[in-house]
Amino acid sequence: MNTYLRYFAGSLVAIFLLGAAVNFLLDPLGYFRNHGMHPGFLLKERVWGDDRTVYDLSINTYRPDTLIAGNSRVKRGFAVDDRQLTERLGAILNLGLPGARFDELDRYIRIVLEEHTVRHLLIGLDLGQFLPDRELVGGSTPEHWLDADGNFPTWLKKLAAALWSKNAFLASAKVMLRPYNITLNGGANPDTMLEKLEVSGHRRMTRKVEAHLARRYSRFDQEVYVERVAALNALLADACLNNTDVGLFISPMHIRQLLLIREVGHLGLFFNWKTQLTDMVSQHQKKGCRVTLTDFSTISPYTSEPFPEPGDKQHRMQWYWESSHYNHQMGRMVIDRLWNHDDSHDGFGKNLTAENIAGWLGEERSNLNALVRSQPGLVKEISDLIR
Amino acid sequence: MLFNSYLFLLVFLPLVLAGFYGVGQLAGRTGGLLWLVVASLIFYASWELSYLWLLLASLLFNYLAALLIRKLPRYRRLCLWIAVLANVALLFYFKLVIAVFGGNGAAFSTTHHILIPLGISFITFQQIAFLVDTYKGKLTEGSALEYVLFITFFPQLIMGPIVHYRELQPQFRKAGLFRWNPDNFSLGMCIFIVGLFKKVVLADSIAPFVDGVYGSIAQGESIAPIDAWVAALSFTLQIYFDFSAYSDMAIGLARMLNINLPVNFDAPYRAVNRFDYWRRWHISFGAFMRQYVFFPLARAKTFKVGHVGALAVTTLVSGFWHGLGATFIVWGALQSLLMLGVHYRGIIAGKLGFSFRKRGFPWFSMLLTFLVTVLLGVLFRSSDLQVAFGMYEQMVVAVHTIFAGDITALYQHIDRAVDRWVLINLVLMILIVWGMPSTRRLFARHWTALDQRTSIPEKTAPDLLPWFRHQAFGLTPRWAIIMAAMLCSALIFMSGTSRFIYYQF
Repeated sequence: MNTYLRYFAGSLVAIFLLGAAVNFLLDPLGYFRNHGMHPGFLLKERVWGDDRTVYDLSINTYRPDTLIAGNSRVKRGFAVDDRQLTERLGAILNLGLPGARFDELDRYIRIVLEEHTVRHLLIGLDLGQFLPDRELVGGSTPEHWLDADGNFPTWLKKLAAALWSKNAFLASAKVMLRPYNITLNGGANPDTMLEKLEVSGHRRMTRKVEAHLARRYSRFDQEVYVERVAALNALLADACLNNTDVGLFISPMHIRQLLLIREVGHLGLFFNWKTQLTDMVSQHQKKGCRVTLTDFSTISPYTSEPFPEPGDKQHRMQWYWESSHYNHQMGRMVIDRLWNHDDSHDGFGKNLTAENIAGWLGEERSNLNALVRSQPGLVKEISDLIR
Repeated sequence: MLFNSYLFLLVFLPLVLAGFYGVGQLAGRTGGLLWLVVASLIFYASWELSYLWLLLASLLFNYLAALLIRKLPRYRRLCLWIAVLANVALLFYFKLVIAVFGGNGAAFSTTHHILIPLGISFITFQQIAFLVDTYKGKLTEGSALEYVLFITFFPQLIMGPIVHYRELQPQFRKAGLFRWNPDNFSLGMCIFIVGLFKKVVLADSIAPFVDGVYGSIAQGESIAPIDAWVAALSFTLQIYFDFSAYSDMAIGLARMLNINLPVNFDAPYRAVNRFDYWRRWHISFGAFMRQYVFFPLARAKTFKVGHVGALAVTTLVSGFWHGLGATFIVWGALQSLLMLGVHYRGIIAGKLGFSFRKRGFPWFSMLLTFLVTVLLGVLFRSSDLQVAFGMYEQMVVAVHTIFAGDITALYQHIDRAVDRWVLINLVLMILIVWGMPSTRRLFARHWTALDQRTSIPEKTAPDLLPWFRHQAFGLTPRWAIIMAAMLCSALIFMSGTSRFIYYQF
């Protein structure tokens, strides 16, 4: 090898080591999932690793009184700099982690609870958080880094991914640039959403997100499901010990999403999940914990808001960015109803208890059947999407 | 298999290099060349196995045709015509397929399913050139293996540069072909890295924006006037960084294998008129058209079309070569008119004793030529004439808005609708295009490039970034660090799913 090639190889190694050192300093264990690895040698992007790394710093800096946690629905649905909200809830951190499953969310919430005294914890739930993702080699949980039998090549591959993947580098770069481009209290910038709407319109944005969700809703793994429900149960117990008020709420899904779940054959699972959550909350309430469960995934005038016609980019929906993500106006109404427990006039935001769950689900089922009968065009559209 | 994929970079290329030097040393020249042929065929088959048979059949046909031209002197003219027409017919058939079933949209999508055999236009041209050169007796007889490798040599198989048999065959025979040469390898690797960086970091970063704007117009959706200009400019830069990136990678790969491919781009957006532009853009294609279409027509005794007629036909044929869609035909016709305009402008200026070159016009001429390239690029990129007119309409509206003094409205739109990274990338690309040395100039100290041009490009405009413009690559520690950093950036940005625009031509 000539001198030039030696210098080149040395520089390459130096750059990779430097990058790895930065990644290691910012996220020593790949804890924030800023890595991802497909089988074999291909290092590939994993979604939103940067958010996860940034949130760690935000939590330490921001010290929130109220934490609104969830996935992208929460991120896009709550304007945490809303003065009305902050007067009521104190400093709020929007911990909306796009694409997060419940096990990831659980880890983040625990970081906050361990470090700070949080008065109110609101968790936006949806069934997707309890369903498996495409499983990649290298889970995000530190404990899973080493195989049960300590398989050398696997952990080496995982280490390499955490230190040198594209996302690890980008996440580190973003963390270093954080003061310039990230707001501390989380939450999606509504202007960005409006710009997207201006370019694509509600329908195109919806098509995109539904194609993704159709795949996600169609996956089910009993073991994963049970594990995540257990994680929620444990989290509620710990929050109770920390004397934190917990408000669980099932996200306000547009009826298209409900039909999507029905079309993939997981409606029964959806209702069972609600029942299980209700039972869990009831048990904690019996122990004296301050926890409630509120259902916004009902068929209501808000969740049935009609979509603009195809090609219409001008019309703006009142409650939704697209069928999966509600907007700030809806977020504000969710907070109002969580605090007032007022669902008397339209049933939107039903407080679920062990006593009313069976009747409520029966009502929901018949409402859904009526919807299917009355809107065959919409059902066909969703059905075509699944196919 | 893409050059810009992990599979190629981490598996295919190391194996080919190891095999080339290993087999070449152990099994001699024939073994080494055979190794390259097998690797090239695997490379081609990795796209679509069924097209491999077509490629092999075409190789066999043309090789036999060349044999007949040599062996049957009385019928050699007839053999040549039949073989050339068969090649053109095959090309025409596939161009028709894409015109009917795909449209230009399919051609330009960097993720679209491949409709026609990859590189069919490039392969056909090389084979036609081979037949004509054989007919003219310019070639020394070579083995079938050399011929197959000349056509299928994987660095240039899909998108050129279009090479001549007489350029490659002697290199296949030169002593030391299979000897490890660290300087050649270093140089080739660095040219390849520059290409990879151009493709992955620069060209791919603006492709989604361009696709989005043209896609919106094709679907009948309205776009903002300024978007049309930004998209037109973006495409002009995207296609340059995409295509020249491929050429750089091809040249770099070949160099790693001790083979020298001809230069294909020489700062085309610094051209000062259309003739100058075609001397710098896709040089091997321009050289082919000049040598095998323009000169035979201009010198033809049977059909006297003259230089002007030959020029018109050549530019039209170059339009057809890209596709049979109406946009390509109009694009070719406009190229023809513009070049005739430049031709007559020169004649008139000469009679008046006026020289554009001496009057300090280079910046103006360069910008005007670039603007024309941007405007023609709209036709080239559009899926049909309706889309092109839609784009032009919005561009006119934007210009009208500027003249109406409402620049703030345009600026606000840029600020809101166009991704800020697209704008940053555009500025970066413009600085590179007008301020930095071309690949050829950057590597000139170590690389004597093959050049198929018969005349040198015109003197160009002043430099935007004079300091950068005079930087030259050297086998020094400083450049080793720069190249390592560029490779790391490219690897980080690499998606592994983005094809090259010219794959479908």
